[in-house]
Amino acid sequence: MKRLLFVALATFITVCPTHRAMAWGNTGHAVIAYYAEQLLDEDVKQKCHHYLHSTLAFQASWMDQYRSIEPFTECDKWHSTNIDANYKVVVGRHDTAAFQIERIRKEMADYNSMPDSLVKLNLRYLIHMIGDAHCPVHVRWSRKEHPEFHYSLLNKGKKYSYHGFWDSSLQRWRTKWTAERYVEEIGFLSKGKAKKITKGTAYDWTQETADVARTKCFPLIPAGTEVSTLPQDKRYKMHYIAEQQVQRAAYRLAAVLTEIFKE
Amino acid sequence: MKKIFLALALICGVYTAQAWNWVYDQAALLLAYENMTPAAQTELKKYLGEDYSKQVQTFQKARKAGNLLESAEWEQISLDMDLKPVVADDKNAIAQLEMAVEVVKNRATKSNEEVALAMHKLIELTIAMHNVGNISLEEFPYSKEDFEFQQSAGGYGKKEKFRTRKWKHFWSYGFSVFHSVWSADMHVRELKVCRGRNKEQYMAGSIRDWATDMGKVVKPLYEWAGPDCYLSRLAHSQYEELYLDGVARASYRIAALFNEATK
Repeated sequence: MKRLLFVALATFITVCPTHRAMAWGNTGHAVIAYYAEQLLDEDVKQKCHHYLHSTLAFQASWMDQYRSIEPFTECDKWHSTNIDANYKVVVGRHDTAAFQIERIRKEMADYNSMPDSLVKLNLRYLIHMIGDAHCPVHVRWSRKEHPEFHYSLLNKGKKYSYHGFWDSSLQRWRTKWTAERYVEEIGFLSKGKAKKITKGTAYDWTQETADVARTKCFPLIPAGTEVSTLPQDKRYKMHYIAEQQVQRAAYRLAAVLTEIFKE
Repeated sequence: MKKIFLALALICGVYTAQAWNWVYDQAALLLAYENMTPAAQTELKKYLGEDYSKQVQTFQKARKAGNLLESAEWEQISLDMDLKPVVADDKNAIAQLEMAVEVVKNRATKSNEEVALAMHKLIELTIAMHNVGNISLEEFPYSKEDFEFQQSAGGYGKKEKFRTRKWKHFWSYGFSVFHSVWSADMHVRELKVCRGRNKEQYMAGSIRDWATDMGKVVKPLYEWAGPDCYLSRLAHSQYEELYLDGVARASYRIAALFNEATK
């Protein structure tokens, strides 16, 4: 019986996420959405405003605010995407951000025949999920297959969540920065580079995020790191990773919206 | 003894009347400026200076320094059972605004200080009268009080936690937490996109009409809310629409008052 209980508990821990993820937080999501809006042509921007009745930034965290409220609880799992034992993104699982982004992209090709309320909902999902797909801690590593990626950090000597650390990596040590300031600091890409990074699907983008997490984020901030005294060079690298991911997310969000609404 | 009274008055001042978060107030003024006639814009800058947009919450600042303590009363409005404004004396926003309009109209015969004070009233009291926390309804006596209620503070389903909050404080600062990265310019853009189409409707009518107008907005709120009520995450998100609506109405009406007073 004890063994059975242990197995049940272990399965529960493996399957269920241990942390209720709020990727990038309100700050990061607002920055991504604001940044994307700066990249849109006027006609595409106007169409987004028409359906949303707001700017993109205002809707950026809607999916976090409503994830526990019926009838939107179904999308609670759409904030991240699973990675398999070989570090490859899992394709075809309905309860993942990558799957839902691609589903909505396809459906929105026919947005003209949808009720406005559905177009609005789909836009809210895209704005948020494309941001999430670029957050290094929003790829799901199974505890069983990748125990090495499940650890905690320290903040002033107390246990601190690795997930929480990266969720707030963009704004960490940057109080009072506005979205405009972030975009100014991050800068814009050349047309050629922008075209290159906006190719592919949400699966490709998530794979890239998983690779960034595995090869850059985990080695940079290993288990037990005291984050309150993180050396300057590591802070710089952390910000660089976060900014690069935000930039990719913004360009890709703008590209998806353009693909949907551009005449 | 005098010091004790002063300290008490200061504390009361801070808690009985508040504007919105500073950035929202600044956004309201920036949007108002965009909707002023060239003559009104010129007069505003003449009396408040080129940095007029930073001159918000001056009454609040004055009270904190022990000056203009009576301005806490100027920020309130009361509505009777028919939602008609109660203007028995000059200790309310409506009477103060009506007097301020006259001062600005007759500015040629007034000192610069008098006109500047009247302009501050036009800006800050218009903002104040659109803040739910400053509106009391005869039908709901507790609407005058800064009552405590329970606000969702995270957790989901049965695990949802609630924290005690003050009603008036909530309506002043309860929504800025979602938008810590937003500049005043971003709020202006948001207000234009989400409420710009209502501009003419908001600008029409008199100060007393606007008070009744706000009463209609606030009444359904008090039919539900009261001491010890529980505010869910959903209600919090929905209330943000009301809050934004208040900021937009205030913005366009500040412009309407300046346009009228400088005709």
